[in-house]
Order: sequence, then structure tokens, then C-alpha cells
Amino acid sequence: MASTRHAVERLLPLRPVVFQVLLSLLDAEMHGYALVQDIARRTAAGIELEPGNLYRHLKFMLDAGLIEESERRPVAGRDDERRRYYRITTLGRSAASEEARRLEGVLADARARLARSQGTR
Amino acid sequence: MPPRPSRAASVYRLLLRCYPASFRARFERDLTELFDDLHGAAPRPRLFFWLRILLGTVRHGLAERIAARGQPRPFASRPGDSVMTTLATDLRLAFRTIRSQPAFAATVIATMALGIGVTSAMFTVVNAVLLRPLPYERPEQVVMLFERDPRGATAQVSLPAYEDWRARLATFSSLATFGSQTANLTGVGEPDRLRAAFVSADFFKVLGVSPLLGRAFAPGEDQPGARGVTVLPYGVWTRRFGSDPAILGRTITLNNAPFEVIGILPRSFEFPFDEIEAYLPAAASPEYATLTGRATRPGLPASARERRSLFVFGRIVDGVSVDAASAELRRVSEQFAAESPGTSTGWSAEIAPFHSVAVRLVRTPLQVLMGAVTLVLLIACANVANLTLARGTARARDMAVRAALGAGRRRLAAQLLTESLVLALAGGTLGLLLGAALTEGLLALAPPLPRGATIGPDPLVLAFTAVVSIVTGLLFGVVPALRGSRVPIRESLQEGSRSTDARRGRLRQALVVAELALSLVLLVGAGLLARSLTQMVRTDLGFTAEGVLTLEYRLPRNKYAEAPQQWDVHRRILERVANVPGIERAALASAIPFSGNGNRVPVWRAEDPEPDKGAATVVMAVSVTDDYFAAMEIPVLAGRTCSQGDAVNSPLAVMVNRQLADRMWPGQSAIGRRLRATGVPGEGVVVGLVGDTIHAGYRAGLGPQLYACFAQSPQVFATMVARTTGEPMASARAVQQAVWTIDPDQPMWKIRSLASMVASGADRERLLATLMTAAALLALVLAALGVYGVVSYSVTRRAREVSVRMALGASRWSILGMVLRETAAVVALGLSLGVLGSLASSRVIAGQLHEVKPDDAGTIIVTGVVLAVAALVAAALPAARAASADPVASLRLE
Repeated sequence: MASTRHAVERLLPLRPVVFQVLLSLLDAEMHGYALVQDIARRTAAGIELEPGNLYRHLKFMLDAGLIEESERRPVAGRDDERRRYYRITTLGRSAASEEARRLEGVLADARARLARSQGTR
Repeated sequence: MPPRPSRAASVYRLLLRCYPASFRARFERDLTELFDDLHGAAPRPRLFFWLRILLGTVRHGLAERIAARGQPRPFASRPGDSVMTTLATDLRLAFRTIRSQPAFAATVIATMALGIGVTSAMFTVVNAVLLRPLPYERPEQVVMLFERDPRGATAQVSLPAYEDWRARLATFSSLATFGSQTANLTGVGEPDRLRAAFVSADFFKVLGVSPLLGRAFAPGEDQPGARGVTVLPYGVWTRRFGSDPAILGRTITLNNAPFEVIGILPRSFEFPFDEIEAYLPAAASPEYATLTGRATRPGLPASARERRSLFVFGRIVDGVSVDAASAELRRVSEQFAAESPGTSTGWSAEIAPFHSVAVRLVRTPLQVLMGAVTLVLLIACANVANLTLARGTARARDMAVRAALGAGRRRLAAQLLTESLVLALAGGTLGLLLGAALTEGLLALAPPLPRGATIGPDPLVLAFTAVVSIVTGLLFGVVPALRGSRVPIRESLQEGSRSTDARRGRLRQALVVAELALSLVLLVGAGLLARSLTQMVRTDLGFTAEGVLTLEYRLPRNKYAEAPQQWDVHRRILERVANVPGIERAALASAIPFSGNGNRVPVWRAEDPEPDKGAATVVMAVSVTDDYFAAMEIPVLAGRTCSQGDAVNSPLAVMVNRQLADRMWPGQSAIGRRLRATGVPGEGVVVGLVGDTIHAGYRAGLGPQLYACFAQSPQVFATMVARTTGEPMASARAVQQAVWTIDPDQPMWKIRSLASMVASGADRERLLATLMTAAALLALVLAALGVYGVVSYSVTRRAREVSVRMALGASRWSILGMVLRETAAVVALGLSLGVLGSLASSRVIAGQLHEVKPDDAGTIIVTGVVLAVAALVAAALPAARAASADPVASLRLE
């Protein structure tokens, strides 16, 4: 457990795309196009991924052990079974929740500072 | 996801070369699939999608490469380095150098963006109109079949000829007819007019197109008496029916008859002749009865062979060549002619690929313009090569340092070339954006082009622009790279060295000579086209186009079946319109000048026997009401025009123009003479002689004309001409309302001023002349900049010489004169080569000229003077600067 924590700390802060990919994979295994669509939808078109950009991040995440390729294939006929699917690893889950906690801290600090600066004006 | 052509994917796979091999081995397939999905989902036109992909791939590919290699050492390539690593190093160096000289980079990028932008825009049009195959199954097998008259002119096809071909031709798998006309649509929103095509059952089979929804026409559905059915294009389905999924089986009312929608065409379907809004069976055409000679089949009367108004399409059997099919058609049609003497004697037939027929009018203008923008691009390249050479001199020291540190000549050349390529690609990317904007502007400016709706960027345009960028990068980079890499180290490291200057100076002058020569070719071309346009619009039309409102309408035949009924409605409409305030005179005609309408009919003197086919005088025959000549201000030279007395049952009264009178009865009066015409029973008596007018457009010019009286040959179709006291379009609404008081359901269209019709008669020429002038002016500016660059560089390098001369007493004027004399030699050489070039290339635009010779001396002299003046002004600016410099200060600086 300690080694996982150490590994997670080394990865933080996560890049926005990495974080978003992890969030997308929390509920389901997805292929590249599904990830692009899911992220675009959730972040309200804030992040539009170009294919090379996405796969460079996926390469990093695979090498870092945040995600892995899924052996499972979707129900035949429902989708193209040649596509590669990705799923989140335990390390990936911890990294995502640590990043969320970190961002909460960032947000709390930012809010407090903003409130103070309004007060002094 | 719709299956996308793999063309886009293969372009993308090429782009993926930016990534290191290891990355590609791992992700190439996934990347391509993701690309395919995104490409399919991207909204058209996909320009921004492609830009994003292009920039993203280059950026991430290079980043991945650099990340994969760590930081390679600059300058020297190590033996183990792969080509790509060296390239990555060169690229980083190139970016660094470019960033350090922003003004130079901006000038080069802007010049290249202009050159590549105009080229890319023109190619976008050429690609969509001329190159991209029609979206049919094996489109090269789709041809059009024409009859050919004894003089060799092509004509449309008669129904009997078509039926004979259909029965006998073995080299065609299917044949179909096509005719188009407007149809009145009622029952969907407001009454409207639809552009309808009347086609035979096999039409979609010939094109090899299957509907997206429902079905195409079945055999027999094109026969008289069959149930009314219609196939709608995708756009009409989405626009007029809101993509209603339950459209099939719905009935729409066209020309007061019901038609059931049986099919929706796919979105990709394209018919380049006309913007067709509904496809209907041939027998539903109001003209069908005319085609069959007012008889029902079987047994068409002989007169039906004279009515050649069908467009015939055919699909050649697999494996049969166009030549073989053409030979069979000729044989069959000659046999047909032999079997039906009289009406078809001497007639033959020919075929032409559908695509080439559809674009035949715009092919040469588009090719001329493509050639013109290519010249502009070459001039831009010469300009940039010049700039790069000038900078090469300044960079000689930098190069010498690197050579001294061990960089080989090849490495130095590669480095310089990489810089050119990066600049060219940056220019190309900007050019692509500029090109897209220019294409939009062009489409807004241009008269409708065939296939105009499909014009837009696609992978081929992207690939073309990329290749053009790379080739231009090589073109303007290779000579400076070779020159720049040949570094005499010691000399260059010494201060103030000028050893390579002389050679560079000559090369740069040669580039300016080439720029001037190419510019003159463009200027002369533009000058000729502009003169030709001026000649054209100055032509005396024979009528006064200003102050005339025109509109067209067609009475529904099923409402007004008989000729007297039709004439009665026309007459009442005319009376009402003539009483509208602001209308001076109103008249009807079966066809008016510049409308594209009109009948060509062979005529002969009534006392002579009917001449052989091809020997008769062919006239433009039009029926008009009495006030037509007054409304159009066509002079009546003798006799009278139509009158109340010329009715259906009285002798046919006709008017002839001067050309026809001179041809028929030279030196005699035409009044009272009698004429006969093919297809018209009885003879006409000439009651009036009128002035000549241009009818079928500027190029057709004047010709023999025959006018009949509308009342004696009434028809359902009419064009109204109304001379107004004020601005014609201001009366449009009142005229329409006057017509509606007679029949509130009567649609009218092409409501416009006669002046605008005449103006659009020169649309194609105006567009060609305008674009050519724009290209030529761009070339002129670039060439002037080239001269400016060379002269200002040379006077800067010679500041010392100038100072010495001035210190020794030379006046400012003599310095200015010296520089201008040197420039004049360069300009004279450029102009001479340019004149030769224009004479050699004039043949290309000869076909586009109207009453101007392609070697028109006036045009060549005027454009030559303009170019010479521009070049000398461009030279005088830096020369004057040099001459006004303080000689003492310059010498002190040395």
C-alpha cells in the first residue's frame, strides 16, 4: 500500500487530459472514440482531443500503470470488436481520487483568497 | 457511422509519419480508427477539422520524437543518427533561426501564403468542377447522346430517334431521357415553383444511383396514363419536408396533378445540369404531347421526328469503349435516317461523356485561371528566393562558423533547405486558410458554375496544397541552399568580405527578369480579356435594355386547354398590366433576348421548293404581341407590326428583321412577300420590317430573325416585357398583383430587369476578366517588390561606392540616373521575354476573346508601359534614398 501511495505521489499533479481519461474510465471500459466523445461531453467542449494527443497520453498512462488494455470484448455485433478497449487500474483509481483531493485543496485555497480580496476592497 | 472513403484515412496515415516508428507500431491502427470516427462526425466543410489534425499531428509527432530521443547535440549528425533525428535537429534549428528574424520570416510567409492561397483556391474549384468524378457508379460509362445535323452541329434528340436507339443499340446497357421545366407546387405552404425533371423510367439506372429511401421509377411508370409518382432529392426532403421519415407514400400536387413520393435520393447525389427539385416521369411533362406530335403511341407521326428536345443519357456496357459505342450509334442512326427519308436525311448522332458535357463551357476559363495563379505562385517563389539569397549573404559568417566547427556542406545545405521548407509549410498553412476564404469569395462573386454546390476543400485539396508548399519550398530554397553551403571559410570570417556578391547579384537579377516576364504575360492576358469584355458590353444590342421589367409565367394547361382560351387569358393579363401606374407599355413574347429561350426554324421563300436540309436559312423565330417593338424600342423600319386583325383564323402575319430581308430579297422590299417555315402549315405574309437585335447572347451576335403574332400562335408559356417610367423593379409588385386579379393562383418567376439579364449575358467573361486582372495586379505588385528588393539591396552594398562618387562631385541626379539605368536594362530584358511569352501563350485565351486579336499590339504596349513604370518607380525609391545619404557619414561608418 505504501508503494502505491509513493507511486501516486510521484504522478501528481495529473495533467488535465490524464485526469479526464481516468474519470471517464471509472464507470466503464472505453475505446479511443468513446473517450474523446465522453470527455468532450463532460467538460462541455472544454477539451477537444486530437487523435495523436489522446494516444500520447494513453501511452504515458499505460507505461505508468494508470490504465491497462482490456481483454474483454463487447457483445458481438454491438460494436467493432477490433477496437482496443482500456480500463482503469487500482493505481489509476487512487491517482484519480488523490488528484480530486488535491484539486479540492486548490479550490478551497482559491476561494478563500478570492473572498479575502473582495473583503479588503 | 457512414463508411468514409479511405482517401482521408490514407492521407492521415501519411501524416502519422511524423511520429517515431515505435509509437506508430503501437498505436497506428487505433489512431487511424479514431481518425475515421472523428472525420465521419466532423461537420462539412471539414477545413478546420483538417487543420486541427494537421497541426496536432505535426506538433505531437515532433514532440514524441524529441521525447523519444532525449536532447540530440546540434550541428553535427552522428553516424548512428537516423534521418528523422537529424531532421528533428534541423527543424529545431530552423525554428530558432526563424524566430530570430521575425521580419524576414513574416515577409516570406506572407508572400508564400498569397501565392499558395490563390493557387489553392483555384484548385479547390478546378478539383470540384473538372477533376472529381461524378458521384455515380462507374461514372466514366455514363454518356450523353446527341443527334447531329447535316452541318455537323449537335442537337437534342427526338422521341422516335430515342425509341429506335433504345430498341437497337447493343453497346448500351440502358438509355434514358431527361427534360426539365418548372412545375407549380401547391398544397405545401405557399404556392411555389419547383424545378422539375421529366425522366424516363431508366434514368437512375443509367446513372447507377439507388435512392436512400424508397425506390426509383419502375418500368411503365413513365408511360401516359400511369399513376403519378415522384422521386425527391435529399435537399428538398430536408428543406421542404423537414426530413419527414414518413414522406414515402405522401402525395404532393404539381401542376394541379397528384404525385406520390416513392423515393428520396441520397445526400451525395448530384446532377450537374440544373438544380432539380423533383424528378417526375417523362409522360407527366406538359410538353409530352408536343414530343409525340399530339398522338399517342404506338405509331408516332413523322412530325415527331422534327421535335428534337430530349436530352438522352446512356450507360455503356461494361468493357465496351466509348469509341465502339460511338461507332455503333453512328451506324444505327444512319440506318434510322435512311429508313425515314425527308425528316432525318443527312442526320447522324454522336456521344460525349456526361461529365465533359456538363462542364464544357467552364473548362477553358478554369484552366486559363489555374495557369494564371500558377504564374503568380512562380513569381512569389522568385521573390522569396531573392529574399533568401539576400539573407544568405548576411548569414555567410554564421555558416562559416558552423563549417569551421565541422559541419559538412551537405549538412549546411540540408539546414538551409529545412528553413525554406518550414517557411513554405507555414505559408502553405496560412495559404490554405486564405484559399478557403478566397474560394468563398469567388463563389459569392461568380455566376453559378456547374457542380458549384460541391465546391469545397477535401483531402485532395489538402494534399495538393501540401505538395505545392513543399515544391515551392524546394523551389525557392534549393538555389540559396546550394549557394549558402559553399562557404569559403577564411574569406567569410574576414570583415566586409564581398567575394560571392557578384555571382549572387547576377542570379538575383535573373530572378527579377523572370518575375517581370511572367508578370507581363499575366498583364497582357488580363488586358486582352478586359478589352474583349469592354467591346462586348459596348455592342449595339438593337433594343433598349434600360427601363424594362420582365417576368415569365406558364398557364396551367389543364385549366386552359384550348388556344382561344389561352389567348384570352394572356390578353386580359396584358390589358391589366398596361394600366398599372408607372407602366408605359407592356407586351408578351415567346422568348426575349438574353433569356436563353427561342426557337431556331429553317425558312424559305414560299414560291421556292423546300430546300435541302442544311441549305435553308435558319432564323430565330419568336411570337410577340403588338406593342413588343415599342416596349423594347426596336425600330420598325417599314410596314406595320401585329394588329387586332391578326387572329387565329386570318392569314399568318410575320415581321422580318433587316438581316433576313437582305438575305431573302436582296435589294427589294420585303413587305408583302411570303415565307414558309419547317413544321408550320401554310405560309406567312411579311407585313413589317424591323431592326436587327442580339438575341442569343453577345457571342452569337446578330442573325436573321422572324417575328410571328402571339394571337395567331398562342401558347401557355409567355415572357412579359413592360417598359416602366421609373426603376423597373419598383413596379414588380404592382405588375404581379395585376396578374393575380386575373388568376390568383398564377405563379410568376424570373422577375427581373432586362438590363440585369443583358449584364449577366457577359457574366462568364466578366468573371474571367476580373479574376485575371486580380492575378495580374498581384503579379505586378510582387514583381515591383522584387525590383525594389534587388535595387535597395544593391545600393546598400554599394553605399561606399556611391559615397566616393558623391564626394568626388557626382550630383544626386547622376547617382539616381546610374541606378535607374542599371534597372532599365533588367526591365527591358524582362519585358522582351514577357512579350515573347505572351505571344506564345496567346493561343490559350484566343477562344475566350470577343473581337480582339490575341496579339493586339495596343494591349501589349499599354501593359508593357504600366509594368515598366511600376518597376522603375520601385527602383527609384531606394535609389533616391541612397542618393540623398550624407556621403561623409557613410564613409566614416566604413
